[in-house]
Amino acid sequence: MTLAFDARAQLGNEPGLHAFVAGISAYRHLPGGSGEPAPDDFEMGQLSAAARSAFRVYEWLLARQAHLPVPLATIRLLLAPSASELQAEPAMGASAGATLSELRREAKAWRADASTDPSAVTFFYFAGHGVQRTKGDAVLLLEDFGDGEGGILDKAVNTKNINNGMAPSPNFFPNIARTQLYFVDACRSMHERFQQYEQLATSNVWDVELAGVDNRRAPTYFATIPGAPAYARPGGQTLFSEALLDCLNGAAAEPEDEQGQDRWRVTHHTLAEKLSKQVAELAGNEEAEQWVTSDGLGGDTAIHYLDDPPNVELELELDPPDALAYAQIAILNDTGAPAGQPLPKPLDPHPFSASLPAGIYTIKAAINPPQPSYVNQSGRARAIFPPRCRRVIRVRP
Amino acid sequence: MAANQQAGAGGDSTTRLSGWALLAAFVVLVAFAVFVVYMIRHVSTDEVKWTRLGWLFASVEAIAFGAAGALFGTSIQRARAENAEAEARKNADAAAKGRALASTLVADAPGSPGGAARLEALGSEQRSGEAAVAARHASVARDLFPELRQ
Repeated sequence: MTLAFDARAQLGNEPGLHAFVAGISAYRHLPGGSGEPAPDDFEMGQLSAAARSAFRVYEWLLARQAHLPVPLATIRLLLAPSASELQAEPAMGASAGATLSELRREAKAWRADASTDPSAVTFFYFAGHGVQRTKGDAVLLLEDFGDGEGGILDKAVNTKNINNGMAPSPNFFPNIARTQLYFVDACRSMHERFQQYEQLATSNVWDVELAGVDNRRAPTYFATIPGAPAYARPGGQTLFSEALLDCLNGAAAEPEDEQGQDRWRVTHHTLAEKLSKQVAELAGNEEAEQWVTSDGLGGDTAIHYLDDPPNVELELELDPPDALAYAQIAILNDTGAPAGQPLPKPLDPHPFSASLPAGIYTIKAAINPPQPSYVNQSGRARAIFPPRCRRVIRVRP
Repeated sequence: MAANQQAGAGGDSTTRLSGWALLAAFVVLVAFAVFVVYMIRHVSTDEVKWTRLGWLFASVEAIAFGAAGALFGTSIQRARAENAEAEARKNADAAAKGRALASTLVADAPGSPGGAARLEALGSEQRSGEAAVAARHASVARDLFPELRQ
């Protein structure tokens, strides 16, 4: 079952979001796989987190379908989970595999669904092995990679072909969705043995029509920069998918004015900015380096709306720390009312961490009893936005 | 059987007869030797007496063999234990050197690009030349000494 979610009948002519989610951990022809060994495995083996990462993205789409810019219409789910992933989450077994023929078939159906209304939105996510042949290239290896048929990259597809094939074309797809999101969660490193060949051709998912104006907003978020690897936690999730879901759930949110009220949302641009920082931070925690890059950012638009302001991890630091014993810190919201629980005096530990909903806050410090060496700090209203914020409260004269 | 534990050089122990047990075994063996001499001297005695002596000898023989077994058996066992200890010391030394070598191989193994040793790359973990050999050696070392995986 590749069409894991289908609300087309309920939506009727209403534009919807059509998602294509693929995750490949089990490669049939790489070492440890179930098929004939590949003629050359290019030092790649089985993965343990890619299918789970895709499944998490699928679950997120299902859970947040009421908060997307358009209603969720379809999700096509192509998974090749490892045995351990399948054991941990048997539901992954219900999806179809992710071979070249399956991907082609489902991609064409996905494009057809997305071609009925320009107001529709598409969502593409792929997690699995990836390579590159030239600068800027991103090649996705499919479940049957290395089956010995055709060339080396016969069972691989190029993201450019997928992206270009989704462009509006006056003859075939004039009404294709103009808002498209692509998430490519794979390495982009070039194997030195690729350089022995004149041109390694990937398989096309479809032919690309040249005519027409490409007026899409269609950013592609790559898990890594050209020539570099992308990482996953063995038996867990990819760093990119962890950061992506974190960002979508609020870490990349910003307020939008809607009839005088703040409505928190994640947009193409905020995601590009915060996703990069989040992934770099996750990788840094593991003594690794990984940088997200985004292509094709056009006009900004929302991806996800939040129910409430997201929580922000606030770090408070008193300057100088010697004043801790005398300083009573207070956080006031935009109406001047205390926000959350009163802070302890002295702040312990220091710096002090607190979690509060994103918004505009004033942080004050009152020196009690008065000390000649320190002064009260009345503070001023400042934005405290996700995912983290650090504020230094100065009580020096 | 009375016996005590005596620590060996490597901290291991061997079993050795001592004290009253040793004396008793020695006395039994001397008595048995005397009895054998006595029997030899009475080879030509009458049939009834020889049969009775033979019956007694069979009883004493069992006790004497027990004493001899206790006395010489522990000596033989001790020799074997000492040999095993020496062998174990040699093997432990070799194992320690092997573990040290494996630790060095793992420590010198090239990490993933960017240094992500604990992460899984979503693509080729390509290495060339010496790095590939070093990575393979480190992999073998980790297989042989799983504790080095940490």
